[in-house]
Amino acid sequence: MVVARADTLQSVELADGVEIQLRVAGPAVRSMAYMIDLLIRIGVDILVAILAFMLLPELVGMEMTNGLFLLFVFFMEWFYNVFFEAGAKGATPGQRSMKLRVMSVTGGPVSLAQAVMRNFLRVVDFMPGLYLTGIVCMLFTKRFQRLGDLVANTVVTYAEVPTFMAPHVEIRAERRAPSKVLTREEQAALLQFLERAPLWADERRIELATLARPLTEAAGVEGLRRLCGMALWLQAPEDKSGTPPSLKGAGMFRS
Amino acid sequence: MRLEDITVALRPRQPWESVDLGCAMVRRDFGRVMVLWICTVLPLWVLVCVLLRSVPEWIPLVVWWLKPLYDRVPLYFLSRAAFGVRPGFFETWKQWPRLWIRNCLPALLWRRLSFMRSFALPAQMLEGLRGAAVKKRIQTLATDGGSSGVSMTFAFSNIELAAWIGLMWGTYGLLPESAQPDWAGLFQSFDFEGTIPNAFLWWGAVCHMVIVTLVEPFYVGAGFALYLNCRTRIEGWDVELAFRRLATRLTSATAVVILAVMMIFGVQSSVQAEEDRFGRNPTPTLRDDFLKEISSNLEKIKKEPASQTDPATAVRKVLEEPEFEIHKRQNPEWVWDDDKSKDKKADSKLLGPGFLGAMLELLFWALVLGLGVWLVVYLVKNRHLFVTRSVSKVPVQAPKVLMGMNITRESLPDDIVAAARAAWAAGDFQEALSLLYRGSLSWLVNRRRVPISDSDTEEDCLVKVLQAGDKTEAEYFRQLTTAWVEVAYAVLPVSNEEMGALCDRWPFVEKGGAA
Repeated sequence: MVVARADTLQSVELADGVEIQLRVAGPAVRSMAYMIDLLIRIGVDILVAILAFMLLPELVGMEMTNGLFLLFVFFMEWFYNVFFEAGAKGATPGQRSMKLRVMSVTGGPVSLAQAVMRNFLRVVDFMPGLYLTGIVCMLFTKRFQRLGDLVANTVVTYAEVPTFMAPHVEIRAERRAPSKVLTREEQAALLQFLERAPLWADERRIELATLARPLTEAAGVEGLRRLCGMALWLQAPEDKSGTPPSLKGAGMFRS
Repeated sequence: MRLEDITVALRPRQPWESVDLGCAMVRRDFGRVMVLWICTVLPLWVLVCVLLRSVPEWIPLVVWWLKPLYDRVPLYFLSRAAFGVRPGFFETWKQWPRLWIRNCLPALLWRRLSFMRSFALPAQMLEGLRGAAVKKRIQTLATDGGSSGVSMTFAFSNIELAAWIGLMWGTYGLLPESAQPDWAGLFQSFDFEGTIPNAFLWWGAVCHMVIVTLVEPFYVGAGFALYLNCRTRIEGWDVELAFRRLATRLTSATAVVILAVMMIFGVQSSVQAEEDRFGRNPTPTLRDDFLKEISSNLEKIKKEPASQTDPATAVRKVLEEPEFEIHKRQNPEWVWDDDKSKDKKADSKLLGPGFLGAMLELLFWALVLGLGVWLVVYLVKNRHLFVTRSVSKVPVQAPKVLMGMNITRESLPDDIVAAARAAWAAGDFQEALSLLYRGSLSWLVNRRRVPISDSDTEEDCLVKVLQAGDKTEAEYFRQLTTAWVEVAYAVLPVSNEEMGALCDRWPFVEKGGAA
């Protein structure tokens, strides 16, 4: 049975035949971002209410203050998201704190029109209450889009490429060119191995290195050593510093 | 578990991204998960409802508390589907009792309130760990201290709560009034029993189950994906997968290279060489095996490259690739059909397009006819709106009493002027003028339909008559009013000549009648 691989990367083919991949964000993280935004809005509303009702009634009268405050709340509700999403960062404070941003499906920043459309349609997503439509729609669309996103042709994506924090250790492996020509994916796998090996137990490293035996033509620790050497070569084919490189990566040879 | 069969794209992800992966996995198999859910969880729900039928307000709480049980069947399915083997319905059905009984007490009692429930479930259920071992395993897996598992639970419980309230909010208006709680009474007295009807509580329980059914599978999937992600990170599953593929590619490539070399140099020479290498005394069985293997491999090679080496075939093969497929799209267009004979042909068919067209045409004319009839009926019914109103047919409610005087025709003598003269002669000036005034008003109101209402004063009457009546009448009425007001209110005498003039010029008679 051939099944399409479930993935969070969604590829989009652009008009000129270029395919891009979007790291779309799902309902869970977006609900968190929404909660943060909601709290911010409520906080600002309360703050403005306190200030306005302390200062303004003497100047413009109570009724006018009331009206102005309601006007402010209206603009907060309707334009808070539009303002931030159409802005330079493409994300509201809540979305930024969850490392999200709003994008056009084509991978570009959202235009003002798109931001207005996707946020004004919150009314529809809100129905019949508390975003039920939006939640269901997000759960069942491939790119986790709610109705507003579908209409405005936008997606919410992760803003940052995750940086891998590997321990900084010294590698004692001889840099060597791979004995065979490697494909792009295989090179990436080798580099991943080098980067993430410090997280693994010794046995696991050797087990994995042994899997690549047709490449290294050696088993056990020797295979691991050769594999790391090839990965180092892929990182930088020539030793520029002259001294043994101190790269972030695996420090599995203490002998 | 064979890593090669995995149906999920493995890659070390950020925690939230792996939660999304879980959602994508559940979405892919949502139908199957739903069937299993309905067959396993729904019976339990019905049982809970029957047991708690007298206290429906507890149903959502109990249903919520039993959630760890619901998670297990979807997890079983998802974990196998992730490795390429979707278990069939009956296979899962058979596993159901085992899945629910295993580890169920801790899950329902002291582990129930754990915030990492869904993240920890795979370690308990799939790795079969118990007690302290689970805790240790979770600590190992959760490289970020479990915060992702906790925040995921938080996010999904928010979603579930919001969706539940949203559903109840949206369907509240559909409930009959007897099922709607008396909110005002509730907030005044906090008397839950008296103000919240049972039907509302049952409705709440049903809505809760609907939302749990919708959200919980995603929560389970998210926990499983988080678990997969942690194992991918700490065990390098993605690297393992890549290395396995690398090994497969390289070994098959080596084999091809060896065979190609053999073909170039010819079988004989290579056998010769082997013979040399084996020395003077090669074991015959070994050599026979080797020869057999080579010849069979050669057969394979000969079959394949023959077609591959032919350039024409190669070109054709390349052109068959999906990239070179020529996409065609047909755009239907409306074209005038001038061919009359074709129409006749089509008409002869009873159920052909011609017949359909005739029916439609008939329908169209019927509609037009109906519309016309309706228009006529409408116009006739509402003709009063279109006829200009020269004389109003609607009877104006003419006042009978004005300023305390009866002005109906019946209350007046037939010959008003004669009666007035008689009264005048008798010396009753007031009565005489009153007769004239009442008679004129009666005429103006009943015949000329001057819009005088019963609250008008003499002044108002005069103004209205001046506006509406004809000139001589109005002029006469002005003089009469002046005389009448002087006599009636100011008690000023009116001269004989004046009275005589008023009587002589009396205009309010039928044309052609007695003067």
